[in-house]
Amino acid sequence: MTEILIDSYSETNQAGDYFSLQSLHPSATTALSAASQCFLTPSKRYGITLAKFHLKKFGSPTGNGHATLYLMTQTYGTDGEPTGSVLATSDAFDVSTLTTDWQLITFKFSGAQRYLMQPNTYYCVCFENPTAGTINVNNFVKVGADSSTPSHTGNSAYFNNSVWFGLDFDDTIFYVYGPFIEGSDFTALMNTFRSNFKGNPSFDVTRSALSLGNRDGTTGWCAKTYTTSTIKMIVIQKESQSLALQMGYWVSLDALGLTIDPIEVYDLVKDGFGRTWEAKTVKPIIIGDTIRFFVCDLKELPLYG
Amino acid sequence: MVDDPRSRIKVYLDTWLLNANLTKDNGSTQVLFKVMYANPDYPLILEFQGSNNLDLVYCVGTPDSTALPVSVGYIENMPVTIWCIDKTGITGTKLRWKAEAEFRRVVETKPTGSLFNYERLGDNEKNLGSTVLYSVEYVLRYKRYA
Repeated sequence: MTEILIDSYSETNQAGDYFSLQSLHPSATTALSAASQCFLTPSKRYGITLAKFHLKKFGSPTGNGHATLYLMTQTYGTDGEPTGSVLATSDAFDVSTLTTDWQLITFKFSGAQRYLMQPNTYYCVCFENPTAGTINVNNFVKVGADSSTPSHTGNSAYFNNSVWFGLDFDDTIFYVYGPFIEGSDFTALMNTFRSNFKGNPSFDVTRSALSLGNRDGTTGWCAKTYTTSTIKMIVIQKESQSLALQMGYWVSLDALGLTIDPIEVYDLVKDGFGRTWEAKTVKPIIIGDTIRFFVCDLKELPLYG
Repeated sequence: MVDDPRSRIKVYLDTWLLNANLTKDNGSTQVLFKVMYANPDYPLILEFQGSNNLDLVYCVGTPDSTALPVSVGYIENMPVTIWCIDKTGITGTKLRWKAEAEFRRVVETKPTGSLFNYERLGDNEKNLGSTVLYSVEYVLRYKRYA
């Protein structure tokens, strides 16, 4: 999936400034445990998929840090700070893998954590220290920032004493990415699309993503492993037919799958009616620059449990 | 019990193939490769992606055997297929030839109890859409004593 930059404040702006996060999150003391930057979404709807922060470590901190997304309160660009419940949390990042040199660290938002943000709305993207592990004055994470000539339209904030505190003289180095969907909510759009087909095609399906596990010493083959998740897919069943790919290669097409969620060839899809399909081909479709989805040729596995 | 002939050839190749001779286009960075039995129960292309991220695979197929007089042994024809793809720093056709050259070197210089002959059956390129899977198939012919 092509990631589109929503907003950023480049690390080239960092003039030696940083936040030292010397407490596990959430901090109830004067020590900081998180840093954020507020930003304004454009007029199109974006689902957050990636965030980056400029990080390095001091000593040997341990534990899993996260990037998070919150709505913003107070005044944007002056003392904007996160508020309310967390909207999205990234996959875990092991802070012990940081180095003592500044690095842009990427945080991935997976599955349901790819929160669909409203257009023209203020949000805060945050780096939060681990909630467990070793974080103290001798072992901590530094988050890159700019207090010399901060030029981003938003502002940074930090978390200590159990509250967020907005700073109008500081910007945190950050990047936020996501594919975007213009117009109404995609689920509603897909439901409308789905209603145009007979037979009430399925919508919530179980995706079993195939990956390879340990390698067998005798055969050299790897064990197959499947990671299951729930994705939204319109499965349109049709009469079985075959498509010639090239001389000697045929694909039997039993159904068509339409989804915006990630899917790969050879993944298994189980729909709400107990049918299991294998994705034989996956083709990304881009309509202008607004909607991107995938069309899959699905082959039914009739004897698959 | 007689050894699985695939196992014998896999161990033979694992022992003698030199990673130093299997390099990327720059001629110095060694590629990641494995020797495995042919026809795994998953698409071979997965070996070149994800966490495995191999650059080159030698697949040992199923042999056909001709029995020699009782208790003498067998003449076996063992198919060995070399697979690779284009990657950053790797031109698939170049790596395929390096893999062939290394395979030939092993077969010609490391006989183990029998003289190995080989026959090159030719290139085979499969267009998988976004990826081309390059391959070449050899048949190893050797005499295995009982």
